[in-house]
Amino acid sequence: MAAPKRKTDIGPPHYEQMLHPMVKKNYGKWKYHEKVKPGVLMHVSETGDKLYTVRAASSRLVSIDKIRDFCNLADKYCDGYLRFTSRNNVEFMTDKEANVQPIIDELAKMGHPVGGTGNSISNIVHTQGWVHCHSSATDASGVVKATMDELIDYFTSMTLPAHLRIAVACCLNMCGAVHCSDIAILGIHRTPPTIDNDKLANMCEIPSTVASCPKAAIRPKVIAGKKTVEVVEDLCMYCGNCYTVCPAMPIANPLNDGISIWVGGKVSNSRTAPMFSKLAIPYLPNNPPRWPEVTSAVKNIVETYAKDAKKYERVGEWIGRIGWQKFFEKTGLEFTKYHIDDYTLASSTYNSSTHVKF
Amino acid sequence: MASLEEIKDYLFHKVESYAGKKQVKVPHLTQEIIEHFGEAECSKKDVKEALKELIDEEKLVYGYYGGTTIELPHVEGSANA
Amino acid sequence: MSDTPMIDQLETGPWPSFIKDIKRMAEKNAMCKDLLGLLEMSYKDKKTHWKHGGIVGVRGYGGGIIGRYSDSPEKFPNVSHFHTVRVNQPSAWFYNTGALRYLCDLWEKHGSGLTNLHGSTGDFVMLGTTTDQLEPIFTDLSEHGWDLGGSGSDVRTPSCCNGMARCEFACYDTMNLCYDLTNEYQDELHRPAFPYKFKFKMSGCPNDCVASIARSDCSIIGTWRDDIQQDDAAVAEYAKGGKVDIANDVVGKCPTGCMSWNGSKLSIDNKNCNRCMHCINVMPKALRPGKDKGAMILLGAKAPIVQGALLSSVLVPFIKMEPPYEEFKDLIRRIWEFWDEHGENRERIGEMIVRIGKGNFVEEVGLEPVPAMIKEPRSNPYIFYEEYFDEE
Ligand code: HEM
Ligand code: HEM
Ligand code: HEM
Ligand code: HEM
Ligand code: SF4
Ligand code: SF4
Ligand code: SF4
Ligand code: SF4
Repeated sequence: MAAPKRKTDIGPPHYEQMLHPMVKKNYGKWKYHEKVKPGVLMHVSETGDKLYTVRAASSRLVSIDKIRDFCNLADKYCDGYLRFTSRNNVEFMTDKEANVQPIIDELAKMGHPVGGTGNSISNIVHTQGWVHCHSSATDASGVVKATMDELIDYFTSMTLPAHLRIAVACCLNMCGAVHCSDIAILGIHRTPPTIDNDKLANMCEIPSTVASCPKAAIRPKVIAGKKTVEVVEDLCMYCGNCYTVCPAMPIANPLNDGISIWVGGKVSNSRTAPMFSKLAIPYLPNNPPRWPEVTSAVKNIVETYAKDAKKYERVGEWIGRIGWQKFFEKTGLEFTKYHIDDYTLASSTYNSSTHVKF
Repeated sequence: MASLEEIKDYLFHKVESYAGKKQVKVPHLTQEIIEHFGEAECSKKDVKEALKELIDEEKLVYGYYGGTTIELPHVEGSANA
Repeated sequence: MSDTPMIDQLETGPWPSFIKDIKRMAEKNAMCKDLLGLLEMSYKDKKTHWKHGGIVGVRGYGGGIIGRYSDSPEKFPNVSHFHTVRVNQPSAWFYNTGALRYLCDLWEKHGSGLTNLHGSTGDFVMLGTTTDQLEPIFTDLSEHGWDLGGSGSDVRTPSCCNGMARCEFACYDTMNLCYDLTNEYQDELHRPAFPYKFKFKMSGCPNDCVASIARSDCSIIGTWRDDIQQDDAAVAEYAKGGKVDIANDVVGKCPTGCMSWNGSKLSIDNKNCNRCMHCINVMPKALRPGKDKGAMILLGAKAPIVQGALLSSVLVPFIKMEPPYEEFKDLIRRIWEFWDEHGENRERIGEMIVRIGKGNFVEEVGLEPVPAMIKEPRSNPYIFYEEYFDEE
């Protein structure tokens, strides 16, 4: 007995129906653009047409009512078209310069500041955190909100030496690929899972629990005649995979979970090749709802960079020029043994030269 | 050539035999099925077709276990009753 | 007093507040009301209250839905089941308001009314519904021309930058390629059959605005082979009145030292330019990518778990990217066949390449080794020679 057939494998709607007529007409014909002011771009076409874009902040987690507000605005000023950016900002495009200010004003009334263009701090890409994920060591949306409230002036201006990109991931899985950001805020578990032996025997399949660990740290064990498991703590990297399989092995530990800060990554190829972010601060406490230790640490790094970097230097390029010694000196951050890599290929990060600054 | 029904039958019984023992994934299953019938008798495409039908008929379901698995339909352990 | 004193503190301040948005929905949706309660509890306890998994999905598909259950069903029954639906977004996230309103109305009927615009893979993410709503949602979506995105060991929803729609730097049509590949690989997207996940991301130029080099197994990044297009009048315009300090900010920052400026004429030794985009970014009116455009194919990026993070590395330095993209698809077919045969369970393609050696991989997928594939040749002498002479 086959269930009723329905359409499958049709893919997304064609993008052409989503494009403003002016965008469609000038597709592939754009000649140059200017940043008119923070958050406002003007693209000029070979045909002479001009397109204005207003970029505004969004919280990524948005309600359908908010989306409808965006739609109303787009209907009023943008002939019913809008888009979202790769960093979760929202963009309103119009061919009428006169519409730009009213769009900005209405966005301001809705609580959505305009900015994120050029040498600014754009929106923070982030993951799910306590809003939706079982693995999270911290919240994501709340950390973002608290951080951007502090850094808002850098979003609405273009005064930094270069682009500055921040990302938040709430555990080592890094769904948002934060490992190439100028500043990465990363949730960390620091303790192995705890094991509830009584529950484990009933709730979890031992072989699959053992197999779930990427480090082979979990071994079967019998305690008081009950089949359970043990974790070899030296091998555990706190990834939480075991908890995913076996709810009797919670990885979350409110006392010890927290946040680490990484700096100097980039993905664009301009000037220097893309780079990974490197460890700046191994641990800060989880302090909801506003994470003051985290926001002030980020602010300190941003301000030190803003003062010291040369024009067009991204954070990683700035550190490349001054060296990590000076980075720790200028930011006043503590250097610890945790900063020294001890994972695979760690030795490539050791200083095998006499290049040292005093 | 092995018929689609033969492949489906064997595939289903393979998954059944793993139930509760091993989380089995598509590349692994495909290899086993082809080995059983021989490459001349059964291609990757045939296995794919057989699997698609079994899934559409809801005799087998997709699961997730550090990557996608194939399983018998069952009530999810972590679901809140 | 409010039931949620902690998260209430996130309603103030200049940045848009997600709490305000959840509260707005909570007035008419019980799921959102309970989500606020559960989240407040997390803020208080400093830990998550979600459990993983659940075999949930729509019939026939192995991806597109993320199952989620809370650990406190008694306290917050309305978010006891809170699954996510990944809806495949249109290329580069352009929408008309009719399309968005349709998605909103559907989600009002069948779910929490909360969304992520957008998920890290690019999907329009509908956040929070129950198992019984999944089939009705999918049926309605597909009747209106929408489909689900990927999850699990499949092709993940491809995504791209806005390319030619609004960027003069685009060296190929990212939005068209994204649409084309998404449709070409519908089966691979909905019916997971790979050793692990596989992501495509497309950027129109080396600025890589969708971070493809860090976030996708296959990064397709626009580039050009001939000379940077230069408009001397516009260069003079930038120089005039010191709008741009060409000597320091353009020539002085060129990483290859291939530019010079004598106060009135800018010269570029294009044979030595590595297409970093810096000068073009600084003077978009005067400089543009060349005319012989195409893309570079890089392979293998992944997040750190378990062996450490990888960035994509060059596989094909230049390939023309025009519909129907046959040469590219041929290459992908060969790559997947090889991965299918040799990929280990839960091994991303980048990890496999490291394991078997990039040189071997390149040979196996039918490409010639070229210096552009590496930063530098090996410095260790442990060469596994495959050819040597035997005395007869
Ligand atoms: C002047 C040269 C540039 C132009 C014209 C340009 C254009 C654009 C456009 C059109 C977008 C929207 C992309 C989308 O969402 O599809 C974008 C986003 C982005 N670009 Fe670029 N880009 C330029 C240079 C760069 C550079 C040099 C970097 C990195 C250093 C960069 C990083 C980004 C990032 C991170 C985003 C996400 C933006 C956001 O939502 O706030 N771009 N860019
Ligand atoms: C092996 C490492 C990874 C693990 C264990 C992992 C695990 C997860 C889990 C459990 C979720 C569900 C979150 C929820 O409840 O909604 C999730 C969501 C997601 N993951 Fe991952 N993930 C990994 C790597 C990645 C990477 C590298 C990316 C992308 C570059 C990614 C992209 C996503 C996306 C797009 C979502 C949807 C939610 C969002 O947009 O934040 N994941 N991941
Ligand atoms: C039984 C039903 C399950 C379903 C439907 C399910 C579904 C998912 C989904 C959709 C993701 C998000 C990753 C993504 O697609 O972006 C995910 C992540 C993950 N799940 Fe589950 N899951 C289930 C059970 C399990 C189990 C039993 C494990 C045990 C190992 C597990 C381990 C993981 C891990 C490690 C990740 C992140 C890495 C990855 O993408 O492989 N899941 N799960
Ligand atoms: C299979 C690997 C190698 C073996 C068996 C090997 C063996 C040797 C031996 C026996 C010596 C003479 C030591 C002495 O009597 O003073 C030597 C010296 C040397 N080797 Fe190697 N070597 C190997 C790899 C390398 C590599 C990879 C490099 C450089 C990249 C290297 C660089 C040198 C240098 C520079 C010396 C001279 C040291 C000095 O006189 O100060 N070797 N090696
Ligand atoms: S980064 Fe970790 S905690 Fe955050 S959504 Fe991804 S898997 Fe969940
Ligand atoms: S947290 Fe990760 S490394 Fe540690 S025991 Fe669990 S699965 Fe293994
Ligand atoms: S990647 Fe290049 S082409 Fe695409 S939007 Fe960014 S600057 Fe433009
Ligand atoms: S693109 Fe980069 S390398 Fe090429 S000329 Fe411009 S600054 Fe120099």
